[in-house]
Amino acid sequence: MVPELFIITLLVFLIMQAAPGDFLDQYRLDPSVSKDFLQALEKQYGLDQPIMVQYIKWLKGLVTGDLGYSFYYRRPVSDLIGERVLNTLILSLYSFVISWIVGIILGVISALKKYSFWDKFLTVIAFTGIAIPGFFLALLLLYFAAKTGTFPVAGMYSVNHGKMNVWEGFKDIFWHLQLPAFTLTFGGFAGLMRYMRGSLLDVLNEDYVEFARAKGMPERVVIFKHAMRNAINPLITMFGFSLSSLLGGAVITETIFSWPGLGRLVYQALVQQDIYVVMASTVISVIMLIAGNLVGDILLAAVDPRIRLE
Amino acid sequence: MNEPVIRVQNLKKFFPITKGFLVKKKVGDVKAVDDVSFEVYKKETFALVGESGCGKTTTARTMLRLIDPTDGKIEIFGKDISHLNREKLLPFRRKMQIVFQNPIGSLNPRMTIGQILIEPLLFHKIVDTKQEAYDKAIELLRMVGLKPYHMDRYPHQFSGGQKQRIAIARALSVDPEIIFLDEPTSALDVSVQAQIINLFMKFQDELNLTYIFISHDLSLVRFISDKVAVMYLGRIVEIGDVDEIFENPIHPYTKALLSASPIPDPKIEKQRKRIILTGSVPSPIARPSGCFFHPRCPFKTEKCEKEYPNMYKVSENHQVSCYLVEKEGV
Repeated sequence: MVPELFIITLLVFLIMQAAPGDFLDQYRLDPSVSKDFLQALEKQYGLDQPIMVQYIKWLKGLVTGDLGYSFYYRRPVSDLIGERVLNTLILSLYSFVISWIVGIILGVISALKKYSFWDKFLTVIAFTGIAIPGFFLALLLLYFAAKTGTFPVAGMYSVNHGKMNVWEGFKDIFWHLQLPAFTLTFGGFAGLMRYMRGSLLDVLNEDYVEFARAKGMPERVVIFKHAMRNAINPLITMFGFSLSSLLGGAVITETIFSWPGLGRLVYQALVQQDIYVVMASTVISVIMLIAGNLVGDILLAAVDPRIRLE
Repeated sequence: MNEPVIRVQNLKKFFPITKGFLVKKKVGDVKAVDDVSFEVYKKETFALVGESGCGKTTTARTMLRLIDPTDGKIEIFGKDISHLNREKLLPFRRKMQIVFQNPIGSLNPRMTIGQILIEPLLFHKIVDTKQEAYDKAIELLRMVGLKPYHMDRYPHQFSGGQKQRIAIARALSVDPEIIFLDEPTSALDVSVQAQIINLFMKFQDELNLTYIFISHDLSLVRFISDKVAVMYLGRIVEIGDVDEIFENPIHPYTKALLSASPIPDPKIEKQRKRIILTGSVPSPIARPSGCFFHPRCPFKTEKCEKEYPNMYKVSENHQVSCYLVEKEGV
């Protein structure tokens, strides 16, 4: 895990540096900013040093828990991220849970009623969900919200949020949550549903499922005890994998809906070459990815005896 | 003679072929099993033979009510089960069990051998307590030649032959009277095949089992069965006692099948004449007119192309559906 982290961060750092210019370019283009001031800034941010020195300095900071300093916000990166993590988690966990529940349930229905009207209907919905780009769906929803006024157009709070009590405040956030969460869920559940359907159909064709029926087991037992337990494997692998996208998977959606989460922060940082914010988000993604896969592997070993090591 | 254990009458299973995305139109049928009738008596081994896709397995699955028949009767111990609902079917499920061809796919990879064996025991209330079920499961393992310590292992830890033994133990666990053997040895090595076959024979003696045996292996069929039915494109073309059929085959298809299987005696083997069939099996969707076999039959007449031959009685225990009988005046 440590070498992976090292290599990935180094690569991202180099790629960021390979992009033309740096954060200070916006000042360099401004004639009213003096050369001395620019040089002072360069020195302050360490941008005058060689790339490898910058990287090693950043790495040293990382080891001691210091994620660096944001040029744009002029604040430590860890503070910025700390503020935003919760917002992102609200959005991504909410849509994560819904898409998994909906995806699995609809997948099972679709598999059990194979080739029926509902299967086809759900399939059309699923492919629509996979095919529509998230940004486009988000824009459509924004348009819908603006036209009808049933949903807030963007952001996370209403203007008067500060004056609300706890319950009203919760409702306010919940209301703002719906459209971005729908955008994420619609794209997310469809794939899961198709996976669940395919996997369950595979297992339903196995002889041991047929045998369970021949034994006279009720259909409920056949499906949930014999078939589902075997069909869930690929989804568990996916579960671990998709955990990693919890913190970084909603960049576009957050940006369009002005959701004050990590994704939007990172997007802005990328545009402005605010390098240490980008680096911090890379570290988070890598850790989430590795941890997610680990969780997936552990879950898989817990449910499937064949995978356990003796 | 006593009453037959199984009596299948005019059994039919058609799978509809449909076209269209939202609105379905039926464009035809795959006639997998078409008008099949036979009787099986207690302690008999009844073999179904024929090439792939001729409807042997579909017949067996329909008889087990794993798929619903389109038409016809399936009488088990004198009771027609072809339209019973799930609950009324339960006692018959206990009496009829199946051993599949592929032992890898027929055992649930997530369950230990113990769980696999105990589940049906408790479900059908063959034993009352978990302890009794456990004891009985160990007894079953012993019967098929496995060890009690295998109880807590998972299927992937066994070899093919061992898995098939487990599948047999599982089939025996509910004290069945009829066992369907769907090519139970074709996935196994020859040496293991013999062991498994001996196991089947032993249990038939000890437990008075009736077998429906589906196989491609004709020498094996001759060795273990009492009666045999040869199927072609969903219909039985020749049926009767094993010795009758093997000594005196009448249907050209049976003859061709039999001539294809080698004889262990090299002197006789040298004289063996193979009847090579030309062409391949016609599609079960659009079957030939008249006798389904006529496009490949070396003895076909004009009549064969027009009308499907009835079942003729050759002798008391031998029936065939072929016009050759008339000609030969048997």
